[in-house]
Parts: sequence; C-alpha cells; structure tokens
Amino acid sequence: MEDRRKDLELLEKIAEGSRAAFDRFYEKYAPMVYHIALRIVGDEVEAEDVSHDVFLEILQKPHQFDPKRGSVQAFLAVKTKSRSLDRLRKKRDLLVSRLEEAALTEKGAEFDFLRQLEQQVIIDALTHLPEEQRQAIIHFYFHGETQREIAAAMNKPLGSVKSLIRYGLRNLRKQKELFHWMGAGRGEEQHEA
Amino acid sequence: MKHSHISEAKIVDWLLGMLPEQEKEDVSNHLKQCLECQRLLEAWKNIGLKEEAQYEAPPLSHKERIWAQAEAQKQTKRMRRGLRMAGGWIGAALAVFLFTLRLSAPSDGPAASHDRSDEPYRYQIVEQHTDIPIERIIHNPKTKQIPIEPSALFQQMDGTIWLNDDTKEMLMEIEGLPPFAARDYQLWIIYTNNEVKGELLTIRHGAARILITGEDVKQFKQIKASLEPKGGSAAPTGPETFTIDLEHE
Repeated sequence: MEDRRKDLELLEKIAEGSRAAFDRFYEKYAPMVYHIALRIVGDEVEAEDVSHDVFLEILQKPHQFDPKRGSVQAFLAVKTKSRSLDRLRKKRDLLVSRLEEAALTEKGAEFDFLRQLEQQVIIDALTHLPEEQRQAIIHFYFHGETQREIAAAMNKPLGSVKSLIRYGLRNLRKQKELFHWMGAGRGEEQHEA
Repeated sequence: MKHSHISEAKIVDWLLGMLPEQEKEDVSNHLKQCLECQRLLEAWKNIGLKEEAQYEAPPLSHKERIWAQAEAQKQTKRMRRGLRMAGGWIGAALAVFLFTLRLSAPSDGPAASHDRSDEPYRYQIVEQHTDIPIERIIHNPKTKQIPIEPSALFQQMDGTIWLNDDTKEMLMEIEGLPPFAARDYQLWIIYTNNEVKGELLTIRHGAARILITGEDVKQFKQIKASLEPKGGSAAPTGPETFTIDLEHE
C-alpha cells in the first residue's frame, strides 16, 4: 500500500510537469512494460514503440490511473497488453509474422493473448491463404481443435488436414517474406514523422 | 445464472502478490471455479509476469524520446491555442487581400490551364468503370490480348492487357491484389526510348482497371507494376507485382 501511495505521488508530480518524477516512474516500470510488449508483439522495435505510447499516455493523462481498481503495475500491464494487441491489429505484417512464429513454436502459451484478437483480424491476416488452409490453421491454432477433430469437421482424411496446415504455414512464411521485403523502407518513414 | 469475472487488473495483482489477504483469498476462490479467469491468469504467467521479476530495460534513449515527444506535443497545443485566437484576425485580413487581388486582376484574361500538349507524354488515363468501352476494345479484331504473369510474391494476382495500336488504346485489368494500408500500387510505363513514367493505380476490392489512350501507346515497350510507399515513388523501389513486354504490330 505504501508503494501505491508513492506511485500516486509520482503521478501527481508528473501531472504538474515534473521531469524528475517521470524519470523515477519510468525507471521503475519501463522494464516491465517493455517486457510485456515484447512478448506480445515479438519484435524489439515494435515493443519499444508500444512502450513509448504507453508512457506518453501516462505523461498526457496521468490521472487515468484509478487506485481503487488495482496497483500501478496492473494498470500498466493491462494497458500495455491492450496497446500491443492494437498494434497487431493495425500492422498486418507484424501480425502475420507473430502468427507464424507462434504457430511454429507449437506451444499454446504463445497464442494466449493472440487468441484475444478478433476472429476477423486473424482472418484478414490470413486472407491470402487458400480457404481450406486458412480454415485448418484457424481451427488448429485458434480454436484449439485437434487435427482429428478438424478432419471430421471438414470431412477430410487426417493426412489432408495435416498437409493443409503444413502448406498454410508455408504460405504464411511466403507472405511474411513479402511483408518483410516491404518493411525495408519503414525506418525512413518513421524518421520523417 | 450470470457469472461475473474478476477484473484483469486484479488477476495481475494476484499474480504479483499485490493484494491484501482477504482479497487474495477471494480471488483464489474464484480462480478455482472459473475456467476463463484461470486462462487469463495462465496467459499472464506465460508472458513471464511474476513477483520480484527482473526484466530487461528498453534502450537508454527511449525515455528521452518519450519526454521530447510529450514536450513537442505540449508546444504544438500551445501554438494551436494561439493560432485559434489569431485565426479570426488572419481570416479577415485574408478576405480583404483576396478581394483586392480580384479587383486588380484583368477581367477578360485567360484562365490558367495546364497544357498537356507541352508534356513529353501524350496519353490519357481513364479509371472510371463506366467510361471505359470494354466490349468495343476487347472485341476489336486488331486488339491483342496479353495475359499478365505475376511475380513470385503475387501469385494470387491475375490480369490481362488488351493493346490496340490502331485505336491507340491499352486496357488493363488486374484482380487479386492484396491491400496494404501504407502502400500504393504503382504502374510503370517503359517507353521504347527507355523513358519511364509512373502512374498510381486505384485499387478497389483488390482489383484495378485502367485504360490508357493516346499517341504514346504505340511507344510503350513494357508495363510493370510495383508496391511503393503511399503516394508513389519517382522510380520503382518496392516488390515487383508483374512485368509485361508489349509487342506492337
């Protein structure tokens, strides 16, 4: 509770424009914010951008934090998760890349937060995959169905479903190459902004 | 029966050991019976959030950039406020200036126009579906039909070019172009003398239709398309969508 009171004081001082208070607040929480963003978006530059947005929001709206709802850590963690998912929604190249990484690790953990994205966002990201490959990937990775269940639902032999997922991932990689190729000029655009 | 969940912030606080005893117990009890909240807790655990965790800090320059941007935004806000106040005066002054300018201009002078005949490229582009006489062009016996072969990265794309040297028309239809929020598709026309002219393509639902008419059509040697930064580039930079060599009669 003492910690929460100190955080509130820091936020009050930030609201008054104190650079020293912001420095202390940032140093205390930036590693956690950056860590969460990096685990969700899976890219260091993007994670820096997400953290940037979160702290900029703190500077602009320091009174957003409501101590009745929880600690500053929890407030920042939930906000960072939300901003990270927003970023994946907006940047399809990043989402495609993240989906591919998550799919290749074959660990449910990687999908925990990606599953919170709206189904339509995922469908859009996979839009260039042939319909059956896309369906197989969505059912397997996002609905958590087994390959046997998918085979029954799609009325296909198990081997075909395995192939659909494999080809789908291969196509996803191709799509990622395209996005990465295009992303080469992104640095300049950011510099101009 | 309506089932109420624990707030996500409270789940994070439970994980970080930040809750007072009673609240901690309440959350623990809820978690035992609520699968959805358990899943959320697992997600936070899997992300590596825990009590006393040591995380890697972002680069040193990060904090400075945030502060600098916040300061710049404050400055902009102050300027905008000032401009709004000055706006009324400036608007009035501008109105007087324009009125004076109009009075001093010759009343029967020619209107300024952009004379296309001075330009090195003499062609017109029609992109409106209704203004393109598709049937006439396609069914003209002198029209050559050239299928568009997409590059490896755009295999889902399909398209055709119809070329007629007699009527000096080139019609192009493409579909299956993936949309990109921050990019535009740009068409590149390469002339027989190797000059290059770029035109932005208007894409609707992944498709584009464009008709080019004029003397220059006979001098088109190659048509290319590529993805370029929003607004187009002076020269091709992005991944190539397709390249077609045009054979004239």
